Amino acid sequence: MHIPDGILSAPILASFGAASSLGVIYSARKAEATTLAHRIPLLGVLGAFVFAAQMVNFPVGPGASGHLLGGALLAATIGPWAASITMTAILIIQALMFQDGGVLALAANVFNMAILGVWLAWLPFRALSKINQPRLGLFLGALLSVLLSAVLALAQVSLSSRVMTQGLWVFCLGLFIVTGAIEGFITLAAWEAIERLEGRASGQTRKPMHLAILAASIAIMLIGVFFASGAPDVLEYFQTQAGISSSATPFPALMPDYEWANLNVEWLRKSSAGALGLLAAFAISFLISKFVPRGQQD
Amino acid sequence: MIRVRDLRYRYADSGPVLNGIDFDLKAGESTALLGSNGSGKTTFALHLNGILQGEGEVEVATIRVTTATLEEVRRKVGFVFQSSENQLFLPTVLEDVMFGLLNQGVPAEQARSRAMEMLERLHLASYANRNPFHLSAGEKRRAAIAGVLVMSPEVLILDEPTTFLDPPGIRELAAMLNQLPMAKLIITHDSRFAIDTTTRASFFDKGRILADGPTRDIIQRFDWF
Amino acid sequence: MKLDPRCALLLLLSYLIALASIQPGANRLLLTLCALPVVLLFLSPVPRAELLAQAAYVLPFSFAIAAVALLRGNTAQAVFFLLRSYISILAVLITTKLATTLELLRAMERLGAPRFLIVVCEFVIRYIEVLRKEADSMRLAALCRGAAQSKLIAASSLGMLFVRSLERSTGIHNAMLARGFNGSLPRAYPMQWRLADTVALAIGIAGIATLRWAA
Repeated sequence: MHIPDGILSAPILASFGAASSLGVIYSARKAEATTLAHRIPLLGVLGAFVFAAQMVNFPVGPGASGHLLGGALLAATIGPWAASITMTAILIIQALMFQDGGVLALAANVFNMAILGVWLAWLPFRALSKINQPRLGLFLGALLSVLLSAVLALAQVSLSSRVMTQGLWVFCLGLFIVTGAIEGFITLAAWEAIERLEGRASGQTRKPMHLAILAASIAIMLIGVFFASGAPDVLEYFQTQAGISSSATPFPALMPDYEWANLNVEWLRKSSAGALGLLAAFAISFLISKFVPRGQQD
Repeated sequence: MIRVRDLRYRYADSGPVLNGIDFDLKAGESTALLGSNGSGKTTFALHLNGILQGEGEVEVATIRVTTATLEEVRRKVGFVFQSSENQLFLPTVLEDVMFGLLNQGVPAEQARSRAMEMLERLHLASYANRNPFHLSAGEKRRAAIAGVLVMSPEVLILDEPTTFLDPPGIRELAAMLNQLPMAKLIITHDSRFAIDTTTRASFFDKGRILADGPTRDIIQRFDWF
Repeated sequence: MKLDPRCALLLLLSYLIALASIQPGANRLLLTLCALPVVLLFLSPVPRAELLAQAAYVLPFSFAIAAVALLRGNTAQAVFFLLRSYISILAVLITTKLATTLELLRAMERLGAPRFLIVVCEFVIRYIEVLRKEADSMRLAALCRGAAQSKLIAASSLGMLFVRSLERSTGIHNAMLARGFNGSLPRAYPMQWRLADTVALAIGIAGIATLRWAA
């Protein structure tokens, strides 16, 4: 999720900006010191590869298709430090040339997608590769990377704008899990194709994989729903702590005795209205954006 | 200028690619390397500036090519690769032509004016600040050659320089190469181009040089039209 | 006369920071600050209508936030986020029209961004179109074989594109070595900070600060 400029508040930008700068400076040093002889052109060309890969439409279901986001595939193939730098470069170019994500908002976007996103993909991949389950690791990594960096982005947006509701969180979380699973499948498919082309293919762990992937998706979905039910409370807690809860619109649907099993009908009505409104707004603005030429700067 | 004795090389994951190559090139001479794909022409040429280092002796201008002499050797050998797209890797043509000079330690201002001069000579001055992607195949090839010529090499190696060029482009390139005084080594499948630009040719087959001699004779002998 | 790209970048960042520091809903203050890009838009040699339309690209995202704010009855906030994101992207667009992406990247490097990162950015810019062309020809080949909607074809296209990218990076590296590359890319950007830049930066920041805090 590329956050544009004009959404995030100064404290969020400042703190994530500091974290991103440190992370990128350190990653650049580590990536520059790797043993890959052709590292500079390698990172650059793979960055361009991610842009080009977005042109390859990947069918993910009837009538639906997605495209590769790339963080997990880069982490698995060139390591986390180099992948962080490549992803940062991609985000900078998206912001400057394609207006995808803001310039000041790079502070948050770089942290979410190039640092957190890359490491969340790398850690499961590495851990599960060690017990000879690299495919599951790659899938899980890609899913977690997309899911959690989007969750963090949404948290940044809602802390800054203070307009999110509980229902919206659940709605968005579902969306993110689906996006993450799609990224997992595409990354895995691309990775397997690369292995085949490089003659390193081995089909031995294929069969139990589908079950494992299904199980992993369901587990993450459940965990996600569990957290979604608690997340706004956490957010409000932080807002109160940070002394910024003087907003004109406090969370209306928060009940101290709230329980997942005991859905309040009023809350459900409000939040689904919110979700519908959001969908409608997205549809309208999507149509608008289709008619507005999206420029590319030189 | 170039002296190679019993050069052998194999890639890690395949059989031998070069099986004992002996080769000589005199100063100012132009030689074509002919032979089918995979016969070892490019692999051989990559040894002449030390990008690959196999067994045997390679000397350029009486300097033995070793890891210690790479810098010196690469000053003397200009290499124009088959893919201009890969060779022109910097975001503007001018910077790309300056790249080699800056690596040699030429001050930026001087490198800039020398690069501009070279671009003017090759009729590319108006493309100086453009992304190489937007040049035509012929312009890309000329820009790649400019980036190499500006370093004033003593030997010029060109790997398949006619790739993607149309017939007028090929004629233009041949005329340009014929005006250059330095020794040239041209890898090509285009026998017409070989005849136009070289006096001698070596024929490669399975990592060996089967024969060398005047370009026309070699082409006739191997029926390489 | 053209400003040094560093000056342009610093002014853009100062402006965006000033915008970010406004409390949501403070629409009058926001409107005052909107004057700057609008004035700049009419003073600069840029295609005005085109930029105004392009800036609308950001609207889907901020519409979503505005919609939620509206549903909760907070019109002021809805207007605020729409306006702030629109005016931010307009400022970015004007800057990227006045200075090229390459100039801005190099300004970032001069201002302390890691050189390694900037070089990687330059390579990405150089090869985006090359690889897109390659991806496009693969898509065409897949279409010709009547397999537009095949997972297998999509996966192998991605794999092929990736492997070719690896090969290309080796080829590029060889070409770099052949021209004496020794591990660090030389730099030769003429970037000159003149008195005019100092003046422009001072006036710009003073203007932004006045509109933000004194008005």
